[in-house]
Amino acid sequence: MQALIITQTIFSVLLVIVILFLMRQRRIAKYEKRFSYFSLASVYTDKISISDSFWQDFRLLLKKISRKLPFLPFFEKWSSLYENYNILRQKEKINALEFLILKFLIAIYFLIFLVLIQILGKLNFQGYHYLIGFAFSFTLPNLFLLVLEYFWNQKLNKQGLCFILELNDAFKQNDSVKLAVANVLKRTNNNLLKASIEQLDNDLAYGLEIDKAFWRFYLQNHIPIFYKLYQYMKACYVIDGSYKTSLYYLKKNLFQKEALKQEYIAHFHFVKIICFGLFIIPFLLLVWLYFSFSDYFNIMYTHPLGILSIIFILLLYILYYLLLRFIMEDGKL
Amino acid sequence: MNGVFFAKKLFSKKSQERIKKKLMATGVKDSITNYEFLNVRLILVILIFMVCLLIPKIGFIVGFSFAFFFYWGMEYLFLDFPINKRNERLEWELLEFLEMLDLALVKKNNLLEALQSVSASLDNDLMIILKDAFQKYELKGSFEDIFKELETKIDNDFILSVFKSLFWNTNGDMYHEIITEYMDDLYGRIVINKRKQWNQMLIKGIGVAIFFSLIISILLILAPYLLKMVLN
Repeated sequence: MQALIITQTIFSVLLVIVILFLMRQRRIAKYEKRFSYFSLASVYTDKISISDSFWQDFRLLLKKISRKLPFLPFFEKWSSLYENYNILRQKEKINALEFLILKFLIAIYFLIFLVLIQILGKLNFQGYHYLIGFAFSFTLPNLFLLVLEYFWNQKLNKQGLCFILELNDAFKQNDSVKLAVANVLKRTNNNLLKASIEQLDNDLAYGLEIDKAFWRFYLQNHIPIFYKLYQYMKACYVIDGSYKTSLYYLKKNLFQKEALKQEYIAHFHFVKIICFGLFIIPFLLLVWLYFSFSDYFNIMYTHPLGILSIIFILLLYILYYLLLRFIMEDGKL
Repeated sequence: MNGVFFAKKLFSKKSQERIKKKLMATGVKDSITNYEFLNVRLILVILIFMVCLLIPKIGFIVGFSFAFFFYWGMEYLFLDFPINKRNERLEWELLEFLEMLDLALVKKNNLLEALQSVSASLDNDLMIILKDAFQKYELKGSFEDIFKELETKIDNDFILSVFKSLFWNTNGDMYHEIITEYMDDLYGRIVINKRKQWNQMLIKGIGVAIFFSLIISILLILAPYLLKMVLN
């Protein structure tokens, strides 16, 4: 009880401090707005925000740890598992090794949190509780990474299509790859691909062959569109064809595929909704029967034959899911 | 060797040839022969039948039906389905190939040279088949031999007809016209096939969902009642 009171007071004091801080900030903003008419520049223009400074410090910490890590080759080999993720290949984001360290840090913090809960709540945790907690917190960032990677790739796909469109436009003026890429680079502002395009421009400027430069471009952004771009550029380079026509064909091909993909998604979602509705009907029936006649299902979990029939129903469910998946995958582009 | 002899003696030549043709069309090189496939299938069918015989009373019927479905299903799952998937992929690859060939023929008016340079530039399944055929008949063969080699490895009439019209075209100025026409046809064909597949997906998906949800619902409702009846 005492521990609870202490934690409550700590949290309430923290809350009061945060509120006071926010009020102070609000007052500062108000004064800044008032004085901005009479001054050349506002007061706090060069200062970075708290979250940015925290993120910078945290990245520095991760970098320091990654430099002084024992058994570095082992961890580097382990982190190579995460190198296929596009989001970890960006310069401004954390890299694969730092992500691995972050995973360890989260797991350690979670363990400390568990120990604190045990002390404050007077709980009796066993060894396996800590083990499960560690495993859970260690694998949780992977899930976040997968979700982030999915959205990142979606964005990258859209901007990749735009990049190809712009490249196609640039080729209309001249058939030189170097000039076209430089032209596209001029137009791109805040884009996920800007760093990669800069590198591509540099590669071409330093005399790297076209196919190799585009391969390096693909290595930075692992999405199928750029592999296709690499293939077309390489083919054009080998057969000594016109880049303008090649890019036109690529654009046509990609947009045709995109249109087909959208059509597939429309069909797929329609089937998905109906199948999901039919998938949950037996569950709803089960719930309704259980609450209406609670004794009706007693025999199902008391007699071995009942348990067998439950297993059979579960197997039917698995077969149902697998068949549906097989049918859906068949029409995929 | 004994396995080969066994399958050769047991199965008809027609089915042996059919499996061989299908294995070639899946793109599998030398990992499995038609005799091995037939033997493995037969052994698995016998095993399934024997396991099902252990079920009292209805074992024979269940075993027979399971064995029949497995015999039919294994060919569909391991041969027909991958062939269909590969054919779809080959059609997209053919589209790329035709685009590149069109570009190559602008500078080189020789079809063989253009084909060789395009097959060297692209790396996909279709180009590997073409490269193999060129390697085999580079010195002594003609387009006819190359086409025969392609026929053994591709089980798609449209793709073969494209190569046929390219190989047997005598007018060098007609290439661009032929290629653009085929590209339009090919894209139309891909779209039609996909739409057909999606319609089938719709019917199959909803059919399977209705069938299974009905069966599971009936089982859930009737299982406790039937169990009580059997125990009484």
